[in-house]
Amino acid sequence: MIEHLLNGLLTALSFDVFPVLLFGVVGGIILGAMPGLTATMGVAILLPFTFGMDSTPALVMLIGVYIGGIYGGSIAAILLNTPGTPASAASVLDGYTLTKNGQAARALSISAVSSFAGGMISTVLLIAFAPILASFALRFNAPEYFALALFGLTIISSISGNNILKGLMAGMIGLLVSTIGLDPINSVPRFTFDILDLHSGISIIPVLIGLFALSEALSQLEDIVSDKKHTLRRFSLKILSRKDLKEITPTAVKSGVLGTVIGSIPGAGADISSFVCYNEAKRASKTPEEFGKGSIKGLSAAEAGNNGVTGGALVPLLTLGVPGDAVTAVLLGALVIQGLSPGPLLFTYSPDLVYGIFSSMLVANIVMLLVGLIGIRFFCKIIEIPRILMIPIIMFLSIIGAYAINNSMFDIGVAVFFGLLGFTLIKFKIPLSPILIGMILGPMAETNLRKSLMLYESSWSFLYDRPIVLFFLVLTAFSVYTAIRLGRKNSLN
Amino acid sequence: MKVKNLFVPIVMIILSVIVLFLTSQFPTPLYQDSSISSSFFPNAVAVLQIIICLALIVGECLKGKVQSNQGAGFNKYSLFGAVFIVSYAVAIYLFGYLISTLLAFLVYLFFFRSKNVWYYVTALVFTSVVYYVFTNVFYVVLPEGTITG
Repeated sequence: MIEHLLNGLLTALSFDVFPVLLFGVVGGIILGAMPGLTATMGVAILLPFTFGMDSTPALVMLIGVYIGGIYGGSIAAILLNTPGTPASAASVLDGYTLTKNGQAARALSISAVSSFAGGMISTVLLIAFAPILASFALRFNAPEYFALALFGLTIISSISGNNILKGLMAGMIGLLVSTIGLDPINSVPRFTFDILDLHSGISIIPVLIGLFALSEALSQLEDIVSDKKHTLRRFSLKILSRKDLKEITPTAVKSGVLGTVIGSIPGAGADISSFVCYNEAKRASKTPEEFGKGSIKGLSAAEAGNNGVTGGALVPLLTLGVPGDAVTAVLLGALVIQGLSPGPLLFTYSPDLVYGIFSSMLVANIVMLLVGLIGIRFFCKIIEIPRILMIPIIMFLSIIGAYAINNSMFDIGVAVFFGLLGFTLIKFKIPLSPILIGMILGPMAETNLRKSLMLYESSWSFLYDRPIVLFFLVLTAFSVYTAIRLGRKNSLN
Repeated sequence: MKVKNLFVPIVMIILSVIVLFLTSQFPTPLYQDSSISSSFFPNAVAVLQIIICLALIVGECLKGKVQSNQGAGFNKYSLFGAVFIVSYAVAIYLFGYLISTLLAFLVYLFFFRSKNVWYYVTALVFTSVVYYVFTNVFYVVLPEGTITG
């Protein structure tokens, strides 16, 4: 493992890979810093740029965007009281108060250092535990994969926000879309209407580009008229002191570990993690009354918590092939484009790539810290880039990106259709991520269910005579129960 | 009860019924190795979708008094955006990437009555840079259009 990691580090620092990593991190920070542009959208927009690349630089760049994007979201949160991404919502509480007190540079540097701590801890834990989980997953067969897909589908209930039924409805749309094309076992055409392009099914990349980039661009267009130019206060450029560093270190480390655990749970993303870590830091603090009034521990907990998710979220993706949230679902698309199938066999057949990703994450976090600290003055300018220019650029890149996957005009149509569908669903407060989760896990569930039934000669006994299947079914039931309880609690509140 | 909250569930129920009809028309394969056929999964999803949508409708109806004046809240800018995206996709098919992107960017800036010269320069630079990067760096042939190509 050490040898693979060292090789990975050499790759990450090579002339071929390091520039794209740097581009990814800086691009991610810039995109994340703009209010409304999320890390998911950033990865989706830059995905088409990876088509012509080799697999390692392509994935390294997207992971750089992911890590940079989560940190970048905090810049707008701290400076403008407008979280760039949902993951940075908790950073507003103390970060903006520090800015109001003229300590924006201090707040931004605390954010960079804490994000770095969270990201590094998360990556180290990923390196330690992912191979163990992957070797366990090698024992999986069709029934286990079916049960895993079923469990994965329960993510839908946890990423559905306040209304689980709306999330489930969106998930069903995704599942149904995944059945378009030739049936995976008998090659029976389903919903193809004699259209040749539909025989190979609906490609996932144009769908996610439509859902996450085009629909968001349309939503942003609505706010464009109310887009007032933000005037920034004058503030001191004094960054965090040694005393600050000493004070935030325990909180950042604890939040980094907590963030990793939360990130590795499918369905729990950076937004949940930052609030959980913030609440935990407040609960454990001797001065909880300072939280929300410019507490550096509060800011540190939220920042380490949201970046702590970056490594954790890759655990289910790389070891089981199941995306834990929207960003990792997009990353899964990137792996598929590169001809790789995420899952335990990735560790067996492409260890260089897997450890290259791990090493690049370590380097990406260091780059993020350096760029974050050096670029403080520059970031204050980024948030002033007018949205009126950004929106058409996002739209054009999205449409060209959808085309470039297969050089297909049909895929442009798919992206536009899902962009409009996504925008309409946003208007009706229906979450979009479940559509993607349904599309990814639908074929996995169906194919493995039918294979299991063939393996067991049409008997359903595989559901109770295989321990791993049983384990996942119990987890599925528990996950559904928890989601229903949380949903009831939310509706009562 | 908000009437707009019933719109999507009703559309989904109609779509699910259509799906159930279409699955009944699926051809039967020569060999059926598994006890469940090609129509099992889409049927199960459609039935579940109907149940979920009915639950949503019932939940909304139980909220009481009807508030029918609630629109989905589309404004003229989002409607422009929707038409803009569809038109751009059609324009790419007809005129190719270069002409349609530059034209679409200009139409967009005119629509928002932008007088900033730098925005127009950005439009030109962006269109050219993307064309250069995709064709010369990534070797992706961008659409040339059925009319102009």
